[in-house]
Amino acid sequence: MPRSSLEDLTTVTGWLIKRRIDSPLGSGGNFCARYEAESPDGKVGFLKAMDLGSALTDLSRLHSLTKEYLFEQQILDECKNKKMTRVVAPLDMGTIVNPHFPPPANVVYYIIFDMAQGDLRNQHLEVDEKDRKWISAFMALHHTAVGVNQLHKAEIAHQDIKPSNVLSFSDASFKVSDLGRVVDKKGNSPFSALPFPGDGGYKPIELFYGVSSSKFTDRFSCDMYMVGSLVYHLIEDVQITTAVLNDSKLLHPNVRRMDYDLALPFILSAFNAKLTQFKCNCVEKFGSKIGGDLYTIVKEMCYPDPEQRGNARFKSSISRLGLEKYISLLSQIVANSKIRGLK
Amino acid sequence: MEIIGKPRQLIPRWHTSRKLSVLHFPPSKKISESPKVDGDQFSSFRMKITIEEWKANKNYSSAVELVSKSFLLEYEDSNVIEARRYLEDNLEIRPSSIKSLIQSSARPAGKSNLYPTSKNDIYKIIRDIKLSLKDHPKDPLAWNDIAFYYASLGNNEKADKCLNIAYVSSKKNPIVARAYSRFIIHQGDPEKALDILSRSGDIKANPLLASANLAIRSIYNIGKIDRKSVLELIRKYESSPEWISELAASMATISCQHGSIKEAVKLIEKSLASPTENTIAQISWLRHKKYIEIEDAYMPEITSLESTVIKLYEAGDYSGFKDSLLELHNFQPFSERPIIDAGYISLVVLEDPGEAIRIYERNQHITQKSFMARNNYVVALLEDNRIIEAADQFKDLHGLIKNKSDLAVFRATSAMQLYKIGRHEEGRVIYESVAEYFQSENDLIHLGRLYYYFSLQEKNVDFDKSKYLLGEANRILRKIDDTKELIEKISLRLAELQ
Repeated sequence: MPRSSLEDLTTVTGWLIKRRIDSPLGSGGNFCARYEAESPDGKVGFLKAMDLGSALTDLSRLHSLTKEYLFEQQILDECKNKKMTRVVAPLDMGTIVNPHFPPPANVVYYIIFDMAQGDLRNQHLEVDEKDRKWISAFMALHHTAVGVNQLHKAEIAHQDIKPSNVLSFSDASFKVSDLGRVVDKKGNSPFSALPFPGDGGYKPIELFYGVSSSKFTDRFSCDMYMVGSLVYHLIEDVQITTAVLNDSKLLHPNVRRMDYDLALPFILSAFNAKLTQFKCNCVEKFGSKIGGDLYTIVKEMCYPDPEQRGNARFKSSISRLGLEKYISLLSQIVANSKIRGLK
Repeated sequence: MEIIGKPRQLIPRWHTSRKLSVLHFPPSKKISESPKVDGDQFSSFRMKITIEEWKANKNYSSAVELVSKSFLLEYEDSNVIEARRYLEDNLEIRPSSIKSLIQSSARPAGKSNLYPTSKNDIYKIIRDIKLSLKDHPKDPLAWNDIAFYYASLGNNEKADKCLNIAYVSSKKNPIVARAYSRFIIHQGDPEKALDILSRSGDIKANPLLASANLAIRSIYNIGKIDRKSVLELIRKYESSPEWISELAASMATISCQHGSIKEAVKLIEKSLASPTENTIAQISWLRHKKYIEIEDAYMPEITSLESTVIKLYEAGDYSGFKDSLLELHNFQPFSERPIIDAGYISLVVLEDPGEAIRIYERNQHITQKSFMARNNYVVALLEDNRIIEAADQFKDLHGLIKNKSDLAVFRATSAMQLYKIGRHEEGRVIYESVAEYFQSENDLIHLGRLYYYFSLQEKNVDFDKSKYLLGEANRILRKIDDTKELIEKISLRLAELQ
């Protein structure tokens, strides 16, 4: 594939493409390769490359790939222009020709981002419990919520929040990455028709039962759930949907084969039991103030009944699904963690 | 006998949420339709990536990711098995959520397969549920659970209130509605139970509601049964046997009662494809009543407490029968029938009035409200020669009389009391008058029992009369089913008298 052999090539903007850094199958999209790249002034960046090679014989695939790439480029531009500080913005975007391949398959599309130090998966989940840095983890959660909120303000829903999509940078900050599956209110996203375009292993619980709606605000509900689940995940090592469905299966063996309305009492009961356990763990680990706040965040953001998810103070779904309350709670958690002297 | 003799239908069981799975659903071999999970292409691709990541880097985090995702997407292969094994090592140091994910066979809280019946234990559970409800008031199953424990204490007003909250807060969920309807049946209001079911969804389209509706209508003879729509619904859900097991068994019972054995057998086959405990109890009852014959080899390996009760009765193991009735009470503690029967069998067959008294006194919430339980308690006290205590009970027993049959039984017990205090003539007059009443009503079971007790009282007064009455009891009881325990007793006594 043209995207797979870009080492030592230089973009027209002067970025030198260096070693490839992904596994053969790769992550970050179906048709992407990842490289380290260096700018003329020595800045190291992360280059994501995509070509149309495998789609050239399939016109509809070619069309959708192009659309996906152009849409991602447009969204990234928007994020950059709107100065979304907690969303990974591109340093450079464009095309490069791979001389090892004949035209027209030799054109590779690329986007260059700041080089991250890692993501929440390798910086937190892969670290031994005793060595985990909780202030940094809470800060990551805070920055994630801010990043998702910045997207929401621009009427964009991320739809793929998970540990590997939250990147850490050398200045101890975190940003939300991988906008490859976002959905926008205007309906320009190639994924607008999908009930959930992100990683199926992280989708909100109701989507496992095929519950979805055409209302754009429900996309925010998905993002809210995924941010809440990330909070649970960093503390309990597994996302909340897995924990709740596992427990509800013990209550009723056919709970996975029911309609959501029928299953909901079992899911709610399992959710409550998991939350009680979660609260105990958090209070034991971080004290009652931080524990209580973490509990509130997960309880409200991951509430299994989508109609009651979010900040119950508000009746309208837009206000209810606003992230401000949780951003503020996470910020307090970071401050209280420092006061408490957590690692 | 209440459990064995009376007609049976699949009135829904009522269990607490943490015991529902264990007590209501025996492990099912068959898994029908594919899950509701939508396995889109992109999810499959992500699954593939997760597997590759596990293969490339076998650590705790990638193992959790793979096991979690495979659980959610219901995917299984050798990599998933390997990742699960990886997590099994050092599981003790992992968070509780990982432990419960790996130990998937772990049962929910509450190790016992039965419910506690001691008041202290029940109050402790109620306290715990109340605490949980403080934090999570929007938990319909917790409201259902607390109602269950109130009902098992006999506090039906509180139970009703809590069940109503469960019903409304679950948006009239059919599973909650079934539990509520069961409770209402125990309050003696089948029409209200039907109303609760019908307000919960489409009776004709939802097999859970249809089965409860059919069972209640059939046993209480309310309205016309829409046979065609029931059979249609069973056909529609043929590929999902777990949803129609009770409906098919309920319809099979009706078919048996109408003599359509061929249809009943077909329905029973469907009901046994993925049976609930209640289905198995129903099939055992149909076998016992000789409606159908199923060889043991074709019965499911799994059993139910109620079918054990039937088996022990059939085998004539009355001591085991009494014990299993008490277990059955711990299985559905709000139900009075097992307690009435356990007391009766102790008193009449095991000739142990002391045990009958203990059973009724331990379950005062039933003895205080059920005429039959209270009457048996008084008879046990009289048999145990605790005449003054028995006399103290008569006023309360009178207060529980609901119909003419109860009144006749009350009078018979009064006759027994008169014998015990030496006023045989008065007792005899009352016994004979009650016997006339049962005869006029063609109530053979009560008549047979009355003659038996009349004969016991006459034993030391008029031997010939006692012998005659015993013979009459024998002659009458042989005409009806499910009186073998008494017939066996009478045969022994007759042999002694020869």
